[in-house]
Amino acid sequence: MGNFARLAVIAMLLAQHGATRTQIVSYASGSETARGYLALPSESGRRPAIIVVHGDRGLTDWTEEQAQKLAARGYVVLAVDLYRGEVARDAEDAHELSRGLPDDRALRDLQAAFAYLAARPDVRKTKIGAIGWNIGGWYALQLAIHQPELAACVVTDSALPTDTADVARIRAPVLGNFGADDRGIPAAALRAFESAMRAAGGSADLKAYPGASDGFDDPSDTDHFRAGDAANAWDRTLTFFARTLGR
Amino acid sequence: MQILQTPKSRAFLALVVIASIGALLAAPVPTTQTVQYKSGDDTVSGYLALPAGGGRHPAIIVIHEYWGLNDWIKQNAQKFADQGYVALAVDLYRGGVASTPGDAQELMRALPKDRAARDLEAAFTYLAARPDVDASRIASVGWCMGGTYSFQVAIHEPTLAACVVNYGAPPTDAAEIAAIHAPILGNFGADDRGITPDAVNAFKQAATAGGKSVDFKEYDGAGHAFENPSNAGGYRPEAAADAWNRIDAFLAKELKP
Repeated sequence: MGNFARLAVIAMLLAQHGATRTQIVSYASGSETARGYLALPSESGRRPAIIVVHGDRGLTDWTEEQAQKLAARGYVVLAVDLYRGEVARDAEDAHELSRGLPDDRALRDLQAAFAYLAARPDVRKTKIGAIGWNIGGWYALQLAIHQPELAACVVTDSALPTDTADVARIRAPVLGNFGADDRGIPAAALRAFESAMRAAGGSADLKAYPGASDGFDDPSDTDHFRAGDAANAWDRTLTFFARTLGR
Repeated sequence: MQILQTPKSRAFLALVVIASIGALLAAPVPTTQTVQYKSGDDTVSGYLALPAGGGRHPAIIVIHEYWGLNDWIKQNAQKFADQGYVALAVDLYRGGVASTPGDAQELMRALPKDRAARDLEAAFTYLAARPDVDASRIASVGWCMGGTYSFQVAIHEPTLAACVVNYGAPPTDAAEIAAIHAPILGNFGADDRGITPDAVNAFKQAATAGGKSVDFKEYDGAGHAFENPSNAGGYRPEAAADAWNRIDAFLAKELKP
């Protein structure tokens, strides 16, 4: 195989697998500096973008993997680090870190992430979405409440806003994936959020997976991981982003 | 139970019974009950502990940790009632109580923070409307997650008279800090990974610069939840006793029971 043919094969593989480049980036958040994990798609030109918001364990390897998987689909992806460098070693650590996170700072960091992406020359700024798991889902929805330009929001196993005035401010369509056996988030909470969104003219599509509970889509959560549900939730997520943000 | 049949032991038993009744009469006996009140469109319940004596009392909103409204929190409410406060321990989880850290984290993560804020506002309104409460002397006290919410009560209730925070996350937003009127007492563990001394000091500086009254203490060698006796690895009895003394003195000064 000649060099040209070899390059062509590599290019084809890159296109198929959507090879991504990743780097740590810094940007201003208020008077402070926040940091994130950026994953870039192989496609050039202006791309839709996604803010990835980690769960209570922090910006873990798994979270970075999700960012890469989305970048491979053609999105400019920024995984924020709300804990600013800390990653939980176990459940107690996760509690300590999540409880120590000031909500106001988290929202400021997410607004800063949005502004960072919107200012990038490779981002289509009307097509920026967010995805979050666990506490990250709650924060993604807070961004949806406070950033009217957000174009899509996906949450998994997260608390849902109940304040109708807050819900009415959400312009982004919302997709949600939940474990039906989640102790903290009953089916009634999902239905209440959906109807509050509908009443305000918004759209929310929340799915509860029977037999699943918090962490069902994280393979490292060996107690709760459910491969079939996880795959279905990911398909729903990709389809939703393709529809709301394009590719 | 052979022993009870001797006259001597019967006399002893009688003495014990009389002494117990005497102790019960002498010590202030807080009355406790579950009460309900409106929070937005919902009806929520809380655990109310009442002090002895009539008239208007100062009151305390007691806010639980991420475990939920468990026995330790109820005991703390009773302790405040013993000291002359009407104490309302809220139930932000609305019935959920955790016994393992995983469960507790699941409940905490699932709690919509806006609903919690509404429930706390409702608790304040409920206490302020009680005929046995002096509405100008209501404080909030919280531990862990409840400590973070105690800060939030101070931000959103301009007439809150005092705020006690035990290892809760301090707000960082200048406008939120400016909205606080109540004097704040805080007890923190210097080894807390989530609420670092830097975060505690940053709040203290910003609040003090804004003319707020802030009395924070950091306990060396103490981490997360050091006041809770059921926190097997992390309970620090001496630091906990000191923290309780500080809380008692602060509330007495600000609320004058």
